[in-house]
Amino acid sequence: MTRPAGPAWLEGDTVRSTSAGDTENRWRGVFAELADGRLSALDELYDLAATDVYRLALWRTGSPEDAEDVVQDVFVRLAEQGVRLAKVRHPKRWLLTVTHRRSIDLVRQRRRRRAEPIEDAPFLEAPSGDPDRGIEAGALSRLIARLSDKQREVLLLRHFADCTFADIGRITGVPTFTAASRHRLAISRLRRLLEVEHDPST
Amino acid sequence: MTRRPDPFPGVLAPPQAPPELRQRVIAAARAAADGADEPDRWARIWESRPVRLAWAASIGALIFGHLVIGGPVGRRSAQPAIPLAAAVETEHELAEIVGLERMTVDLPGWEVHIARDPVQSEPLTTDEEPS
Repeated sequence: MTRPAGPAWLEGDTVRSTSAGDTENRWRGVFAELADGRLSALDELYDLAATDVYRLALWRTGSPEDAEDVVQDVFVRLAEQGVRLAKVRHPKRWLLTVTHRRSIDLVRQRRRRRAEPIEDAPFLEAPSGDPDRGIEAGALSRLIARLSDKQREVLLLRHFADCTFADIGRITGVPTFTAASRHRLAISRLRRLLEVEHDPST
Repeated sequence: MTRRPDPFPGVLAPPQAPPELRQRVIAAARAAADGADEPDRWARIWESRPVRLAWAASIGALIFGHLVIGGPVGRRSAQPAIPLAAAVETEHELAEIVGLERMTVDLPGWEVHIARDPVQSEPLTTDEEPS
């Protein structure tokens, strides 16, 4: 039996390659400017970080509204650090760690407030103006919603935030091996869900 | 079973942050940074020279009071908690307790048999010739 094809990022362990060194230097430069009190660097930092922070918060909380709150909280906490930002050695990892923790806090508060399903959360989206792809994105988002919070988080960090397993371990507070194991389990589970989706008789 | 066409091409990606979020986030961060520049109440107290002098003076007064006024109290506390007569009596009682006679196995009229094996405790017979 042939396994149904999945998305490109699901088929292999391919990670988008970027000029990581240049990006890291830009992050450090922005953090240094903020540590010096130049708040104009907030705009550049938002351009650098907002997408990753928002996506991580969305995949962890399952709610676009909560993700927006997390983004705001993370940037507020960052701005409050002041000169301490100069001591941050890995700015992106530090920011994603703050995002991870804040998202967990928010999920806990939300669960106390109300039990809200996340099946309709838009974990993936298609390019605008493509209704067919939009339907596919919705279907895959519903499958992703059936993963655990931790599995969703490691998938996002690995495939859409260009993080290594060591980075993921530092961000989520687990050993590197655990991060890799979570990724493997998430991929396996998503493949099984895809198989059932394509062939309900199985 | 034929291989299905790829239903999830790589064009799918997690959504970007909403455009209207940018202004809100940066404004909140700027406000937080401005607030962070102002020292909080405890920092202002710590950095205040008169308050630090008052704190040092109060500590000095406490030390002076302890040395001058608390002197007799310190001497009183150096006296033994138990009077000497009572201490001697206590030592005598302790000596009697320690000196009590203990039951010993060599008292006259006592015999102690330790039989580890009942068979071995039987008297030996010499009727049989040794082989």
